[in-house]
Amino acid sequence: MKTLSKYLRTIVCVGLILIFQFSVLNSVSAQGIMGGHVTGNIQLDGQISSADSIIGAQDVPEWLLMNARADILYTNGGFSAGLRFEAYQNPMLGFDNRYKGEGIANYFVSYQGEKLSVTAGNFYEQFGSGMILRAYEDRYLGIDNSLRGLNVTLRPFNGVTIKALAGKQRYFWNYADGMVRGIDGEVNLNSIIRCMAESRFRATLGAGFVSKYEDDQTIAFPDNPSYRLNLPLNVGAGAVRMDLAYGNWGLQAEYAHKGQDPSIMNNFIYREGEALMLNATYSQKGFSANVQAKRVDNMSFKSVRSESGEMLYINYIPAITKQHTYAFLSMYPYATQTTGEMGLQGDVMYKIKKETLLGGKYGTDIHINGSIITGIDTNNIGGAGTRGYESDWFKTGDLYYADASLEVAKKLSKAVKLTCTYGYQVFNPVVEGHNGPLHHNHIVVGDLTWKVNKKNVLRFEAEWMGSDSKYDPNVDDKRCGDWIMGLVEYNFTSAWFVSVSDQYAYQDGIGNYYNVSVGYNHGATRLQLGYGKQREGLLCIGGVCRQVPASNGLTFSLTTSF
Amino acid sequence: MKRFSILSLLAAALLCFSACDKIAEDEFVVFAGASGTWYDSQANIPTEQRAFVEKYTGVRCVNCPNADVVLHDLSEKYGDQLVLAAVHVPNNFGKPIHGEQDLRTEKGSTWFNTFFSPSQNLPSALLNRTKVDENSLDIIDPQARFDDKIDAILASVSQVGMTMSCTKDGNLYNAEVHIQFNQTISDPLTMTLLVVEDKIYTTQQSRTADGIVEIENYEQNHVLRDVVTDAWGIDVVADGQQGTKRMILLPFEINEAWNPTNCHLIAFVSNKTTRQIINVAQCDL
Repeated sequence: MKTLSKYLRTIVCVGLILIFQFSVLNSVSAQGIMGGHVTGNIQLDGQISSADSIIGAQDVPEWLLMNARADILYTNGGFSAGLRFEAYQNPMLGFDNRYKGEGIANYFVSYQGEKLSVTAGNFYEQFGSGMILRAYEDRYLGIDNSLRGLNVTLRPFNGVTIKALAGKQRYFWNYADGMVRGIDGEVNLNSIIRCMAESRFRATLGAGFVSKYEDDQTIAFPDNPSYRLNLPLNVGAGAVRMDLAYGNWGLQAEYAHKGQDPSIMNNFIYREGEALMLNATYSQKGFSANVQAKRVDNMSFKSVRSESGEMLYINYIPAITKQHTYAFLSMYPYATQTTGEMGLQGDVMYKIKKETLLGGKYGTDIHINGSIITGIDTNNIGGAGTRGYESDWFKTGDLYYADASLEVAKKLSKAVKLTCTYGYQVFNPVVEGHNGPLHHNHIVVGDLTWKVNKKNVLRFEAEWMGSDSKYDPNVDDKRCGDWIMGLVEYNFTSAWFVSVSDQYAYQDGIGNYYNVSVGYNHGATRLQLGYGKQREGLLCIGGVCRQVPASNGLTFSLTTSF
Repeated sequence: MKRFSILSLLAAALLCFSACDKIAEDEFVVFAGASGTWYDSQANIPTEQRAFVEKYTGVRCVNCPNADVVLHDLSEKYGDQLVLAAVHVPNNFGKPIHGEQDLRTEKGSTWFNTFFSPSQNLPSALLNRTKVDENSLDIIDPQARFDDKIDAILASVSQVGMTMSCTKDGNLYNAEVHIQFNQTISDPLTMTLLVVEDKIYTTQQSRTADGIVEIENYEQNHVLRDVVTDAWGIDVVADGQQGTKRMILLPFEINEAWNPTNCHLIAFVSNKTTRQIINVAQCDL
C-alpha cells in the first residue's frame, strides 16, 4: 500500500496531463473551454460565538471560525477530473478539530464509458443500501469516508453491472491504515431474460462482498496481560439483495453478514455480525404506504478497529425513523445503533379528494408515520476475547425510540396553506450514551404559509412540546422540559428573505434560543447571515449524528456554483 | 467483454474465499509474551542515544553475506551505540537448507509481514523503524554503508534514556529495564524485549564470482531467537513527563537449544502508533 498512493498520484497526474493535452487539441475547434467544461461550487461558512453560561456556549479563542470548500470539476466527453479544496481555519464548533488546516482534500480522474467506467483517486461508492459498503460525504456532519484508490465498473451486458474497488478511507487530512477491497454485482432480470422484458413483474438481484485488511496490533486480554487477542487481519462482509415490483407493489430486501471483527465498537468480541432490512411499498394516485423492518446485530464495520465515533465506517445502516424538519419534532433525532437494534416503521400518505366533505375545495393531504426501535435481546457470555453474547433473533431488547406523527396539510385558499402536525415521541437517553428515564414528548406544530403575491410569501410557524423530562444539571441535557416556539419568515422580491424565531423552555427546562436571519439569493449564489443562540444537541442525517455544541453569536454562509 | 466478466467473477470468488479470516474459538486469546508491572525507578539512567538495526535476511539469500560484512564493520565502528538483530524471513529466503535448524521465528515473521511486501528484496534493513514519510518506512539496503543515517540518530537528543540488566534464577531469567523520560512525551509508548544469539553455524547461500555457492558452517550473528514480550511490545505505563523514571521486571525462559553464553537481550522503546524506535539497550544474558 505504501506504493499504491504513489501510483495513484502518478495516474492522476498523467490523466490530468492527458486531459489537458487532449483539451488543448480540441480547443483548436473551439468547443467550450479547451474542448471541455469546467464547473464547480464554492461554500463558505463562518461563525463568531461568545460565551453564554446559561446555554453552555464556550468562548471561541479564534474569534472567527470558518469552514470553506471549493469543488472544481473538469469534463471532456467521457473523461473527467476534479479536485476539492477545503479549509478549516479553524473548524466551526461541533466539527472535529483534526480537520484544522487547508489543502486539496480530494482529487480524481475518471473515465465513464458505455461498458466500462474507471476512477482513480478519491471516489464515493455504495453497494446496495450500503450495509456492507458506503463511501460517502456529508459536509454538515463533517464526515468524508471517501476511498482513495481505484474504482472500476463494468457493464458487460444490458442489465448487468459489476463494480470492483480498492482503496483507503480518508481520515481528516490523512488516510486510514486499513485497506478496503470490494466487489459487487447486480442483475436486472427484465433486461437479461427476454420473456420478462415487458412483464409487470420487475426484478433486480444483487450481491456484494467487502473485505478490509488491517495490520496486527496488540490488544491485551483484560483478564491477563500476558495474553493478547488473536486478531483477524482480514475481515469480510457479504450481502445479498433483491428489489421486486409488481404493478403498484414493491418489495426490497437485503441481508448482510460480517465475519469476526473485534473492535473498540463491540468491545473486541468475536461474534459475527448480521443485518436484515425489509421494505414493502404500495402506491397509487393519492395514496401510498410503506412498511420497513430491520434487525441489526454487531454490524459496526470500520477500516480501523480502534476507531470510535463516526469516522471510518465502511458500511452504513440505513435509518428507518422519519427525518423530521420541524424543530421540536427533530429535537430528539435517533442515532442508528450499529452494535444492535431492531426496528419497524410504517408510513401512509393519503390525499382526500377535492370537493368532498373533508377535502374541501383543494383537497387535504394526510401523512401518518410511526416507528419503533428497540435493542436486540442479548445474553452475555463474556467480554473482550470471547464471542460476547448470544441473541434470540426474534426477541427485542430495551425500547430505544418510538415516534408517531400525524400531519394534515390543507390549502385554505389560493394563497393560504395550513399544515398541522401532532407528534408523540419516546426517547431512551441510553442511545446517546447517557443513563436516565425515558423521555415522553408530545409535540404540536402549526405552519401557515401565505402567498401574498407572486413575489412575496409570509410563513408563520408555532410549536409546542410537552415533556415529562426535567432539566437536571448533573446530566445537563438542555432539551429537557416543556417548550414553545414561534417563527415568522418573509420571502420578498423572490431574492430576499428574513426570519425571526424563538424557542423558550417555559417549564422544567433551561434556555431561550432566539435567532434572526437574513438571506439573499441571486442566480446560483446565496448569502445568509444569522444571529442568535444554538442549543447543544445532536445533528443527525440518515441516522448518522454529530454532536453540536451550544453557540451564541453570528453565523454566515455563502454558496455559489458556476 | 465476456472475458472481463468471467475474470471479474473469478476475482470475486477469489476475494470471497481468501479475504476473511476466521479465528477458532479456542484461539481468540493467545499468549503474548512476558509482561509485568511498571514501578517508579530510582536508578541512574544514562541519557545516551543508541541506534537499532534490524536486518531482514535468510540462509537462501545470496546477497545477505555482503550485508553481514557491512554490519560487522559498522558494529566495530559504533560499538555499544549500535544494536543489531538479524531477522530470518518467513518466505523461501529463510527456509533452512539441508534440514538444518530453522532460524525463522513467529514474531520475526509478524514484523516482516507488517513492514514489507512478500516480494521484498533481501537483504533489507530498518534503522530505528524510521519513516521517510507518514506512510513509508525508510528501507535500507545494508550491502552499502549507511553511516550518515546512524550518525544522525546518534547525534539527536535522546527522548528516552534506557538501561537494562539480566539475572538468572534457576531456569528463569529476569530482565530489569529502566527508562527515563528526557523530554515530555504525550504519545503512548511500548517496550519490546527480544533475545538474539551469536555464533550459530548453518549453511548459507552466497553469490560469488563462480556463481551461487553454499557456504557450510557460516557464522550467523545477532539472530533473533524470540521476542520475549508481545511482538509489538508492552505498554509503557508512565505519565510521560520529563524526568519521570520507570522500571519493569520481566521474567522469561529460554529454549534449551540456545546457547545462553552467546545470547543477548535487547530492549527498545517505541512509539505505539508509528512504531518508530526511540531508544534501545542491550545486555548479555
